[in-house]
Amino acid sequence: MSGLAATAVLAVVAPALAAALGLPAGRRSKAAAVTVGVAGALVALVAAVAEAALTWDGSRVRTGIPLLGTALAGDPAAGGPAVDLALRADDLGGVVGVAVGVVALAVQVYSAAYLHGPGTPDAPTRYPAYAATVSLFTAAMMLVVHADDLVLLLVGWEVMGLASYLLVGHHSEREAARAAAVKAFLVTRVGDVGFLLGVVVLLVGAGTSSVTELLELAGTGQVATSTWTAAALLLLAGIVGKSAQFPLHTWLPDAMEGPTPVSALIHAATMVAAGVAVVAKLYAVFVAAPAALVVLAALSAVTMLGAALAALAQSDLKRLLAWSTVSQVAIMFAGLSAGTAEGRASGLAHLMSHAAFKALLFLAAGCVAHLVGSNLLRDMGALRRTAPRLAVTLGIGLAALAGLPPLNGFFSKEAVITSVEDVALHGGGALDQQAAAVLMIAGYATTFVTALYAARAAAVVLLGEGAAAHGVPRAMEWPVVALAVLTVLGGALLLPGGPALLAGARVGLVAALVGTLLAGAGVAVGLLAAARPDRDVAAALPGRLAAVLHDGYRLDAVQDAAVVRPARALARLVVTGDRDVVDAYVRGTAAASTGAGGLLRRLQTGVVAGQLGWVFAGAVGGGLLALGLAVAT
Amino acid sequence: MIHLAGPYLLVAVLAGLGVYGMLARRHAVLVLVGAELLVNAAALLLVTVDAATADPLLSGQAMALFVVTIAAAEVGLALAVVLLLFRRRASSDVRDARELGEVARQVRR
Repeated sequence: MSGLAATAVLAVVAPALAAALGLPAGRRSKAAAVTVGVAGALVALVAAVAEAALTWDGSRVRTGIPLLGTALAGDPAAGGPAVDLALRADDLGGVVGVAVGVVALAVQVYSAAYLHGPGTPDAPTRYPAYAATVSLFTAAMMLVVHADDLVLLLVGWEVMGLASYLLVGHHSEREAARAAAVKAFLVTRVGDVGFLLGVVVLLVGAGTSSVTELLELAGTGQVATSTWTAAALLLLAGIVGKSAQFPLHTWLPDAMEGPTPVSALIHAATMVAAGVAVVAKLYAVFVAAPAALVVLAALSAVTMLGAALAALAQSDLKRLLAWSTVSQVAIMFAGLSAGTAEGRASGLAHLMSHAAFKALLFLAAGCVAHLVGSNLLRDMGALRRTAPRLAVTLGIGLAALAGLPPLNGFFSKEAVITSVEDVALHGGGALDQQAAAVLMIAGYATTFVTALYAARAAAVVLLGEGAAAHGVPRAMEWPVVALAVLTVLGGALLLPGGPALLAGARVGLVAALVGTLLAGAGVAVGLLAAARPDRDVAAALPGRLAAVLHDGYRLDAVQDAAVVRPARALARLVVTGDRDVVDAYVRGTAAASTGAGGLLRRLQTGVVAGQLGWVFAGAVGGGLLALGLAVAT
Repeated sequence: MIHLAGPYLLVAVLAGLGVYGMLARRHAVLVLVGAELLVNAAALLLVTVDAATADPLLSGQAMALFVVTIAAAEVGLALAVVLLLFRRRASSDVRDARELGEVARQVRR
């Protein structure tokens, strides 16, 4: 096995082993569980860094690395496709793997301090199970990124769904956590049905589920465009669900019921990023299906602006960040939907930036909640005075979210807008030019709104008057500082000499200027509100509009009426049919037997003469029968 | 040699009286008398049928001897049962002994 192949295997297997060993280790002591979890993430990170270094110039790709052997999807004698459960090592796996490894390591270190002690009755810590599930989550994401076969990818995809369910519902004593976990699982499952069908369409239509072979086939025209379009649209359903895009985004804000480091993991590197990684992995398939790209562009345009507006009106810091994730992931999809190499590179660049600054924001938000004892914005304030170091890191994260130069969020977001603008003005992408133009406008509008809500969060949380407070544990502070450094320096990935994967992304002068102006305007408006007594620019919104935005356009109510209630009514109908129709026959047999038995019991009177009467009757009957037989013969 | 209609008729009368005694009488001793009448009807039938056939082994008569022996043993046993029944409940009415039957209220349930 070559070194490159070993890195891919190690990146997947190390966290999986940590997940398997985490529970037995945790039975011995918490320190052992911490060691296993951190070691798993560290080994995965080192492997991913090595893979990224080996594939830095993008020329080395190793496919078909054996992992689980071969499964047959058809009769091999009849030429059915063989499903080779193999891994691939390439620059996508390396670079995205580094993001996954960094965030997983930061989360494991942070969680060791965040989940300390036995916890409260309604939220026991259960650290070993938690750390093992985080490791499992990391392994599943690494598997998705490194899979060379769609069936293997699907395995990682589903394990990720399971891990997210377990982590969102970690505090299962709380009704809200259970409901959020079930919602996250069911909503993503809806999309996953499409994903599974998409894999089947590719297996039947293109005759293979190997990523390598699909990428080769997609450019040749040997397979009909309709096959690519059907497969891409079906895959898109699953991707929209996992990546929390409209209309399957409703699970993500509710998933804030999970512990805060889990939110960092889900939002920054795993789960929502998985959809982006899959589109980038199968990019040739999506480019061969322009209709799917238009759908992706439309969904991302709606999602990025709608989610940004919803984020503006949130009253809870974690929910604000959740909506911002929905919006930022839509920006990544906007880049990917351009259908050019530049678009793919810019979308992935934004994935890297977002992984750094969103993990930073969530971990910092966890520190703030640790200090304040609440996630509500109205309970926060004056962080600038109470915890200056934390305030600086949170400020860096919010500035990167707003897209202020020279932070990483600025470069990658402007790169996305540049790539969309190129297609809108000059064509040349697989995406329709008008769609690209709409997407570009939505992108600029989102830039302004994003800066506005980021500045609002900064004004509410950082500014104000207050006294210094007790600090946060070191293990919680170091990951935040490390991520802040990455956020500041992350833009360097787009410089010449950066990884070839991101080399296509460039920041256009117009996009940079307009984007900076819009972001600056948004930040200015948001910070001017700091002069108000509540320092909250969202308080200036009309009340009803604010309420609608706060509830996420009441989509939950629509979902409730359109899906949940009919499903419940159907379930009740099935129960009635089972209990009152099917079971009635079973119970009827029992009642009939009892009744017949009761009739027979009446004969058992116990009177000797009566029983003897039956004996004589039997004797006479038997005699007559014998006589009859004798006469007949 | 007499005509066999007489013995057959006597068998029928004895058997009829025995069945009547067993089914209709309530006193245990009389029920027992009914049973004895039935047994003797059977013995008489065996002898009669033997006389009507030319069986060199005289199996009917041999069987009749067995029946007499068994009837003697049976009477001893049955009288002991009757005696115990009377000692237990100071009554020899067989209708009172119905423990083996279903109790009426159990049937209704």
